Amino acid sequence: MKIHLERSGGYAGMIMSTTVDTKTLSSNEAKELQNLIEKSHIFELSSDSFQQSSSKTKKGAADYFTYKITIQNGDREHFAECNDLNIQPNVKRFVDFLVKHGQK
Amino acid sequence: MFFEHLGKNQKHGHFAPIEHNHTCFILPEYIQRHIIEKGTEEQKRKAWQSLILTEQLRGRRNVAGSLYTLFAVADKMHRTIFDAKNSESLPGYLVRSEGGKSKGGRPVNEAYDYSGDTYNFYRQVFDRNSVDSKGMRLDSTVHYGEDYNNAFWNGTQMVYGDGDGQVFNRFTISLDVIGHELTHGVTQYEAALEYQGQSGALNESLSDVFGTLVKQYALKQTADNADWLIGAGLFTKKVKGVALRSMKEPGRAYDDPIIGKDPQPAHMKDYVNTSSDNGGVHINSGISNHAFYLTAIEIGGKAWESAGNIWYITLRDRLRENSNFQEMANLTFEVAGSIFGKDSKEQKAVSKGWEGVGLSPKKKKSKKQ
Repeated sequence: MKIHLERSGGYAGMIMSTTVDTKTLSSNEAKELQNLIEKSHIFELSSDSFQQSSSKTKKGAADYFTYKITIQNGDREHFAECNDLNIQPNVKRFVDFLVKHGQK
Repeated sequence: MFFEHLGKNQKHGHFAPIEHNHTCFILPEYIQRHIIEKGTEEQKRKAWQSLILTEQLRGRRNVAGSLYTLFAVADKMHRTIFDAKNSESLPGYLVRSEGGKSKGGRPVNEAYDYSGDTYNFYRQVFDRNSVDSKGMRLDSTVHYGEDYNNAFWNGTQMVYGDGDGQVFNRFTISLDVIGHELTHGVTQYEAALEYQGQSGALNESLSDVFGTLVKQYALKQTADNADWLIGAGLFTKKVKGVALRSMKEPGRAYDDPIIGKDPQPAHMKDYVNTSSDNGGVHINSGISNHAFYLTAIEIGGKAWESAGNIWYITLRDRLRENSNFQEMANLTFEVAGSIFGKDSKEQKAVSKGWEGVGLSPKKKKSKKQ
């Protein structure tokens, strides 16, 4: 399974992207990632539901990070988008893992 | 209502304003309001936290916005600083309110002092009473998240991360960052520029423009001796760069092997089409930033008195939700003519500024003026 994260926006406006391939992770890291994915319920949320959530971002808000997550598993692909203002805590923990991995 | 048990059992520190071994009673709202306005520092702090907890118990995750309207203070500055204690819950613990003693470390005091500088700038230069022009509280949360490399405006308050210490220092370090974030609030209450594409880039550019003017005003700098840098001091010494953005030289603020090169264009021919960053709002803002810089330099003197005044009136009275760069050029040209006169030095400077980035203001025919 490959997971791609793009984090854009923020005051600095820098784009950070990283791809995590579960094959390259240690067994502990892979287990942790699998656990985070399950708890995030990201597969149960369609991109539509994220977009609806995104549209609820308060008008006037600015400089928040936007996160685009693409999960590829064989032929299946799942896409989700959220930001600092509407991200759920369990999804944020998943994103934090990906950010941390990207900084290694 | 008595709920000491919540303080003991609540595991999420950011959610439990009750200190250990303390008992908390919910007071009627009018009494809490009175305490917040008239009480001692400690009484104010407890009343605030009590109100926040009440709102959270009602199921609101981030509650600051719902409380602002209760305590808008007319005709004077009112700042409140919260500490998220490295959580991501807003607003966090109250650590300093207006007139309170300096405490809580540099981020708390920088957020307090620099939001004061920003308030004073808008008040003294443009006779604007806070973000909404009606005396809205200026609320800030510091220590947001862990190693959070960002600052943002959430529609009701400012939020600052500590930075990771590797690339970024704390985000309260620079006065223009705080001026930038508060200006997002001003834009929200005025033009309400949509945060996407060119209107979003204008939104960002206006925050950079007034953020840097707040700094120039505080330092009493004229246009030709200002640095025109955005976020100077935010990078750690490990990064090869002077700031995040340069209004004087967009695209040349940093060039570092780890974080890459400043991507900002300085001219419409280099406009970046992208789906990231809400359509490149922090990238293409370089174009209108540079137009402002060129205008201010052409006029000379204190930028807030001339170019700044033109941009402010345009933001307050003329821009609309979906305005683009060309409309901004046209409107600033018109406003310059209204304030300083047709064919004035200032109006010609506006024209020259926009031409310098590849946009010529389209002049309305005289019958429409």
